[in-house]
Amino acid sequence: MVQLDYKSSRPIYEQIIEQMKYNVMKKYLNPGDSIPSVRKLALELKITPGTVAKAYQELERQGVIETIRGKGTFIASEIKVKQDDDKIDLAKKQIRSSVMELKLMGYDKKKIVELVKEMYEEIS
Amino acid sequence: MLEIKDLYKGYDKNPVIKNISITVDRGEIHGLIGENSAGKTTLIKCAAGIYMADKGEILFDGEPVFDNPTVKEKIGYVADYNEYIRFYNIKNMVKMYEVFYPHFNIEKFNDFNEIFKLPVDRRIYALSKGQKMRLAFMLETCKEPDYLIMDEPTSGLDPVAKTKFFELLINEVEQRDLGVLISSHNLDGLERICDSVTMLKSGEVERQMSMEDMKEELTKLNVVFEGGAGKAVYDMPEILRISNVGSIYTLVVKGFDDELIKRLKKSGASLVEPVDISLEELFVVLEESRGDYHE
Repeated sequence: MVQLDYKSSRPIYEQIIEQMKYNVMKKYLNPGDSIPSVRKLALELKITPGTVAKAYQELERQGVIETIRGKGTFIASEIKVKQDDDKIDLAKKQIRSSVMELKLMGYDKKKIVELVKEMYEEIS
Repeated sequence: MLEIKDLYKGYDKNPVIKNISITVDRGEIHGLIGENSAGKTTLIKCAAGIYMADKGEILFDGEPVFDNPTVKEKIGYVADYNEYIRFYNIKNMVKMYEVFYPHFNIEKFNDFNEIFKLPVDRRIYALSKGQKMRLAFMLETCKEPDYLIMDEPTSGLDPVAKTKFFELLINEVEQRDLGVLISSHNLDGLERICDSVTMLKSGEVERQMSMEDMKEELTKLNVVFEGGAGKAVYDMPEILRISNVGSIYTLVVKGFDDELIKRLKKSGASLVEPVDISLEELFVVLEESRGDYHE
């Protein structure tokens, strides 16, 4: 369900957040599906429970998962990821710098738009 | 809550542990690490109420543990060497536990044994080290205690038994809010289950923090120095360990920040990338570098 890249410079908890969201977008995980507890996922991924807890707290805050006390952790029955201005700003900056790189390497507008479309399809 | 407060204990006139304070909540796993003879077993035996403290207090939910059967009924203790009545077989031992401990859960014991597969008709003296350890864990956990204290419980366990042991343990913690104090040299294992950790050195607390913060004590970096790292790099005091394969260097540093990246780049680094460091590596580097590094 989650594959970590231990050699990556991306923090482990961010990798967990991203992969959980990816699983949801690809519908590998659906609303109401049970996901492993913090301790079980930590044991499986060979990482500290605190790191998994941090990722789960963020996913819960964003409305992707929900914890029902005594029952476990689930994909939220209604996933509504709140629009977060800071996150949107960050994404814009990242896209802008990537577009610039591609343009420098000779990609035209059509090719860049094509690439974005492909990526969108891939995760939908 | 398990509270160890300002604990001192020694043998004859030699203090073994000094001024130790630890708290463990129910539902929490606290790891105890340290070199051989750092005082881990002495501390654990005090916490289990076997040794009387020279000074300080050990309280479970506010009640002292020493010489207190009511408190001891709520705690499980897996020792480094577990001795039982030698000529009893496992079945007899289980019966004895059922008599002594009113909450002993025999169904759970049988479920555990589906996994651990102990020969229940065999006598204690004929059990291997790993079998005795499994038996101790099963008996003490099936008492359904509120707290479980374990001294090096994974020693003697094969890799499969070790994995099962961790799985069963976290189930108890999640389902029954079991509070756990565990000492181990199996740092890869501890890293995966502990919420917080105490590092002992010569009988004293050297570090005590959440496992997450512990992992951030040091940072491992992959750094590329085309043409090799110069003397200036080797002289940086915050670099505790440095090794290289060709122009790719692996550094373990203390106090990683942007300023350090800048200085590394100034010294010729073309790429600086932090990567995950294991608790085991972190522990070894901390032990080796003691004294060489001053904050």
